[in-house]
Amino acid sequence: MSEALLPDEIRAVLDNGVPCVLATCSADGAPNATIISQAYWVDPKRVALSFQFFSKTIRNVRENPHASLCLSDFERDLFWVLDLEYERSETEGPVFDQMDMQIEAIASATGMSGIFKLKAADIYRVRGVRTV
Amino acid sequence: MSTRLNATLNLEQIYDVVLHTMHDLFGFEHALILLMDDAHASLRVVASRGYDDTAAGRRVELGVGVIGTVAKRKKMMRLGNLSQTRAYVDAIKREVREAGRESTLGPVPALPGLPDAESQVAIPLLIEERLVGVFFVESVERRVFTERDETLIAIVANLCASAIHNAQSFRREEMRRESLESAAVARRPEPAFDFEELVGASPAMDAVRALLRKIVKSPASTILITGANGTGKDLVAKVLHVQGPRAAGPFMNITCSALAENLLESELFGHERGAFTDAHKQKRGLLELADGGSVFLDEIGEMGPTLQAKLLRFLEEKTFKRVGGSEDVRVDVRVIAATNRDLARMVREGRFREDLYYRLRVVPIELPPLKDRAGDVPELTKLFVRRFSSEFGKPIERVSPEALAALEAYEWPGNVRELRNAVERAVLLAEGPVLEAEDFRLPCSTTDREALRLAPSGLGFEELERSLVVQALEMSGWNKAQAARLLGMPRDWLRYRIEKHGLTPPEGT
Repeated sequence: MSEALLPDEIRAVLDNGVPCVLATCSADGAPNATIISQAYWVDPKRVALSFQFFSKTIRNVRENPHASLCLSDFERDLFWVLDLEYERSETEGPVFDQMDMQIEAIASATGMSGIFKLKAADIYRVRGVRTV
Repeated sequence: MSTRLNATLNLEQIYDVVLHTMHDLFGFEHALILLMDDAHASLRVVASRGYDDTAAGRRVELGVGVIGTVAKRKKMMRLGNLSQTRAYVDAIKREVREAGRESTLGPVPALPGLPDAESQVAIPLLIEERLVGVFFVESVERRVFTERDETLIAIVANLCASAIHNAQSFRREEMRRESLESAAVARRPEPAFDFEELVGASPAMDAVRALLRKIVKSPASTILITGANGTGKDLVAKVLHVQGPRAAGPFMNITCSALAENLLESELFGHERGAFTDAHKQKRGLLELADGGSVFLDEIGEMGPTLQAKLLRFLEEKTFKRVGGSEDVRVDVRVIAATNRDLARMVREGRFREDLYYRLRVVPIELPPLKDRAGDVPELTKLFVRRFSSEFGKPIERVSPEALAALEAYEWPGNVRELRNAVERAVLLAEGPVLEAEDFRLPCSTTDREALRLAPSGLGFEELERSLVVQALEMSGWNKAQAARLLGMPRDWLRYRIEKHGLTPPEGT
């Protein structure tokens, strides 16, 4: 399958922590879309998405690793659509820690500490990038 | 900015410079500087820009909100598009309420800052990985922070942390100096010192004591004590002073690595009024305050080249000039220096002056590592047990023979300090009158494969990892390079684990 590199312009969008929409599909073809709180730049070929409470999403990507992510770019007034392929989940390490810190900060400031927790940083390989 | 920060030791001026610089560089309308308050385990706002008067003095608990989380994790955080995040959190909250799980929602803390901020950056102010405070900026505008912004903010924060640390050190040293000055004026001899820790019947300690007996009454003015961390260099320095002919004079000590070079110079040699921005009055340095007594310069290997030259001149001529002064000051002081560095090697590498090296080691004393005098471990253990059982009010009767054998067999890379810490912990946590081997929680020998076998019940890996890291840091006196070697891992791995477990060095390390 093809690979794509993330353009530099998207880095600021990812680094500034904006909720985004992730679409996945089960093995038998049932689609699912959900809002996730964080997409995180890992390297030019990978992003990490916060896995908090989306059991259907994680079930889907384990059956069918292909997913589509839609990010709002308020600076340029457009959307980025990323074609992704689920690679692995991390529960420790620098990427997990960075995402966990951000979620912990927001959770503790909003009274959500009891339920707003990072279970894993799901690492996805980027297969395509386009703007709409 | 760097020049302006270096020119002052006044905290208010430092805050002002930093807040203005951040505004000029990034256009932030709202900024806070919070300093760590160790006594309350929280942060306190010490300076602000763009907020109303209620911001001053506000506190933030560690781990709460962006500021508290950055303080707890000691890592920078930037958030943009916060209105989107708030909308997302609100949506989740609605779902939680609709599902009847409202009880899982906690209270929303009142935090300093803007309720409608769109972007925020918080950065920890760190000195040697110890948290000094947090610098926080925010904006109601949507701001996209680039890597360049992040780098610049980090540079400003580093400068800010150093300036605050220097100013705090200066203030502490001022207070300490003033109290020492009063003591020096009174010229009261120090209370009799406890020599007990120089115990041990090993040939290595016999040799040290024999050398000390020879030199303690001698007029030799300069002594160099070398040895690994935890071998008791400071103790020997105090013995030399208290047992020597200068016992009635003051004993002043300073750790050369604890202060920036300009502050160390001012502390050692004093300064004239007007020598630098905050020199409002003349100050006598430690050498003057120690006139007739001794000065202990710990970690001499960390002294910079300029000060090395000035110290050499003093050792040669017994005179020096205060910072900003032109007049020679003459004092009669015994200089005792100590280091855990290989100064001869530093000389070969051009990092330490050869002439100063030979001038310092007029009388060299090398303290042996504890592993080279393992036979002294039982005696030292009993000494520390007596001391800590009395201090903690714990009636410890004895240490079991098996425990003493295990203590003797262990290599003690952190030397006597590590042994003392192990005994202190054992006494503190002891539940009976006899200390057993397991009470000392000695790390496994890497050659003891049986001891490393995983128990069928498993283990708490995170706790084990944390414990090993803490032990390595304690053994090495928070020397990270040495701790990493003890753990057999690169320094970066150790640094990551220190951050992961939120470990901080004890005060004064």
